[in-house]
Amino acid sequence: MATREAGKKMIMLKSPDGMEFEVEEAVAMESQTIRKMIEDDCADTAILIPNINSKILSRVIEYCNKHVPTTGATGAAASDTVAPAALAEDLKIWDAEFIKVNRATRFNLIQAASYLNIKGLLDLTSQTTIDTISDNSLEEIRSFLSTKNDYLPEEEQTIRRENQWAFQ
Amino acid sequence: MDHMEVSVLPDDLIVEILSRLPLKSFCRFKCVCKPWLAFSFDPNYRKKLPKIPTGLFCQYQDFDKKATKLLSQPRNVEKIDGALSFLPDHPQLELMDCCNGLVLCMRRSMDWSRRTITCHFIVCNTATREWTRLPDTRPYQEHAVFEAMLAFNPSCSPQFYVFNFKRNTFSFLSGLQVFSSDLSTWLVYDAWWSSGIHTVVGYPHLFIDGSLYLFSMRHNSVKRILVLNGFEAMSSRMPPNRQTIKLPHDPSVEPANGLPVGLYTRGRRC
Repeated sequence: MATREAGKKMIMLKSPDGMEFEVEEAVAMESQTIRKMIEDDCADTAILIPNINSKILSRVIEYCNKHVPTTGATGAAASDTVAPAALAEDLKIWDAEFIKVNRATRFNLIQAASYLNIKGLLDLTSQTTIDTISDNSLEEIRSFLSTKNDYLPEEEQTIRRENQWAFQ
Repeated sequence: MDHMEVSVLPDDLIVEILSRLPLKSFCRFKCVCKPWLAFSFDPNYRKKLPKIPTGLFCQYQDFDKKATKLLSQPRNVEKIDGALSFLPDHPQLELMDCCNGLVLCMRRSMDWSRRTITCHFIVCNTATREWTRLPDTRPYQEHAVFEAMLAFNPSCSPQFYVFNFKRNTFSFLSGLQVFSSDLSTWLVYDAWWSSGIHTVVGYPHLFIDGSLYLFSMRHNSVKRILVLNGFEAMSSRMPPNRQTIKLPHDPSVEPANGLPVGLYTRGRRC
């Protein structure tokens, strides 16, 4: 059941491996998917988040907690005194630390961000992935994104010739 | 705990990642595997992915000044300077041709004592704002009319060629000078061009897959397409290959004034 604690509405999120996370509604609503459930009154009981295990879900909640906009009503007086630019810079540093995870965790975060529709997290995880591999060789890219070269040798020669300017 | 860890991302998330690449890197990534190449043609994905910037250059004449504009700024790229204001003498430049990302412009200068005209060409890449000034052409007689065409195909060769035709009094293409970026010089092919070719209208023309296609029209005869290719030969100052394609005689597609109409499509001969 959704509960109230210190005047804030709480939402219960449940991972498929049985863990329950109680989060503020505002934090949960960083996810457009959950926001829609709440707006459609489908969030009275705990919301089961399929396909996202507790380890990943806790990281996602950590991200949303950091990124939820602070308002005067919640008593975050600090936001009035800290310049928005400094706040953005602080978030950037925090994001860079947050995304220092192994490849499997990052892929799980991408999937979670996509399913839960959290644009900021999807941007962060996808951009970090592309930054990691954009200068790699084709073979390294295949290995990182687990895909196989299915071009026949002559097909590969043709496609590479057509795009040779991109290799220069 | 980690039983749900993924090592393979579904297509829509691969596209999500690839959509953040600049166009040049994306072209390299298309060589990774066939499904990634196919994403560019998938109606669900192609809107997201980087595309070759396309636009339409238009030129307006305003007294002695010319204003060039690029209609429909492409998405996914930094704003392109459609006015070409990064080029020297840009208000006097005539827009002559575009080909696979390069733009050909020309300025004329008149030598009043000799009453001759010289063409000054500039080839530029509007995306990178790089440009090169070609050596001046030979002097032409006063009132000469030119038709300049640019041939550039980065998939085949980094070289580009500028064909500068003079129009004779009947409006057919006559004298020919070709600039080869490989040699950085103009080659004169007047004798080769006039040997047997008197009736090339030239416009509209098209450069596809290394061949330049021009309209040819003979009085009371079938219309033809003239095909020029094998430009590499010009590196050793040899003329390119030329051949003709006969067009089927079909009065229904010919307008009453007898001028040829034509539409080209991009495709491959099998």
